[in-house]
Amino acid sequence: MRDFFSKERITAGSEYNRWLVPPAALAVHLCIGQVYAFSVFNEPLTRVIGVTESAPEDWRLTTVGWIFSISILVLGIAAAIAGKWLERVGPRTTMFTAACCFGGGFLVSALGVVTHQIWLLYLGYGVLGGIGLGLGYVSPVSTLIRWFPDRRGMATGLAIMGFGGGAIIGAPLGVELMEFFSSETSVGVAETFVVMGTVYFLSMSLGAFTVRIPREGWRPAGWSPPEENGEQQSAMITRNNVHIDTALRTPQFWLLWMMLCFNVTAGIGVLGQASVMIQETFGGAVTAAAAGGFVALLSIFNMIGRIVWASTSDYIGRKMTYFIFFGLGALLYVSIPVVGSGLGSIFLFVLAFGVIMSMYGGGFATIPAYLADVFGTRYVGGIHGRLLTAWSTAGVLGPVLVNYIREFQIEAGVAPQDAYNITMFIMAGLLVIGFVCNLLMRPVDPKYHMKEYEGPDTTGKGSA
Amino acid sequence: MSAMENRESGGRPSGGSWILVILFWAYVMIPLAWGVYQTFDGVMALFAG
Repeated sequence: MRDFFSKERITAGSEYNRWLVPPAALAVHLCIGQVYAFSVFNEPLTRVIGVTESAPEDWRLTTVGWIFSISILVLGIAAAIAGKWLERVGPRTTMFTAACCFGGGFLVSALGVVTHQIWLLYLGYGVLGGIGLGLGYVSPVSTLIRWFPDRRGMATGLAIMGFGGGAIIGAPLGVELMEFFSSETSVGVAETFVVMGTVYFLSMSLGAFTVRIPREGWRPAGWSPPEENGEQQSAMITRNNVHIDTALRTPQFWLLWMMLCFNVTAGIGVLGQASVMIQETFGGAVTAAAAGGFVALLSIFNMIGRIVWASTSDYIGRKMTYFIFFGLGALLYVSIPVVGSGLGSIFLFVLAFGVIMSMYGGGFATIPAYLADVFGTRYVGGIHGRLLTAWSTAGVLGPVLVNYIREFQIEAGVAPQDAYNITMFIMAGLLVIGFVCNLLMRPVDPKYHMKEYEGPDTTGKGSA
Repeated sequence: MSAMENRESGGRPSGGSWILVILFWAYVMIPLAWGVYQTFDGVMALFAG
């Protein structure tokens, strides 16, 4: 059994088709991306005892809200801690462990709903599910980078697009299942958790059993690194590898950490408040249902941005791609008060936020390829895992910034439609800092490179 | 690692593997398409008013 999961066993033969790896990665990411849709369970979880309406002994919304927060926090911690382990054991073990944790987390949570023990939901979806999220997020990405040295950005974009798409599937699926299972005595959440946990476990396992790693020295048929063809290779793309522990001692790691953190902070803060924001900005012109449509549209932009921007980075380079994210993003944030409360244009408001959200998703999807360019591919999975602590930090920072500044403004007598203006300027400021960090990015000092030189390309380098 | 190994190229995937590729892509893309369709139902409300 142990042999079945070993790296030797999953090393691909010469007839293996590398185009099986992206759907294997998607099978995992489309499942774990459900985390962004967990909010559809929040309100029903406050009626588990009362069923039709919340009873005094029912959980409060603030109590339930911690489930999501714990899972995102554990995601970052698990990805950071398990970095070395996942590089050692390979993607099949990691992805299957993720399937057990994420699927099992749903089942433990179902037990928590049935017995009305909130700690079981914190432990189940929060801790177990969070570990599944962290492992499931990182492992397929680093595997794809090795299979697609010619299209690193596109490959990682495909997988991480799945994480965005997971919410698009998970939200309506959760709602439909709860409707199906709800009765006079049940809100249907526990049954929904059992079904979703089982389906997600099976789907993620399918991905784990399909995935393979390329053998040493493999490269795509007909492809060779640009320098072997006499083409100019970007100085930002290394031919060396940096050890996972050494990477943390380089300024490049922390510059990329800040870039990811600020890009995510700017996006996540808006994403969490999008519905309220558009309604308050345009007064009665936008209904609650229409605001829901706005949020849905942003999730589409978020998903599409992941594949489009990451693929674009293969052609224009990672550094230029992030310059666009930070430069254009800052300009768009500054323009929001003008097109929103100034011009009163819903179309331009939606378009501006759509582009911002596409770059929010693009930032997530392009960072693994940027890491591979800067630190090499050998430990990119583990380094990526550690970088995801920036995501956890942003998950706290973004909503806090948006919520508290808005409250402070309204208490100071600012009209609700103008209450987000300062926030937009602060978000633009964060992106300017990110722009400067990107400007400071240089190739890693050779003293940090691993001593043994691995040859021109064993695992894929050289996408321009 | 020898220079010969470094120049090693990937083999040709078998014809049957492409059928598996199509099936697996369909397996992941059909639910995603359903999700996008469901989402656009909500988006219509934004522009209907």
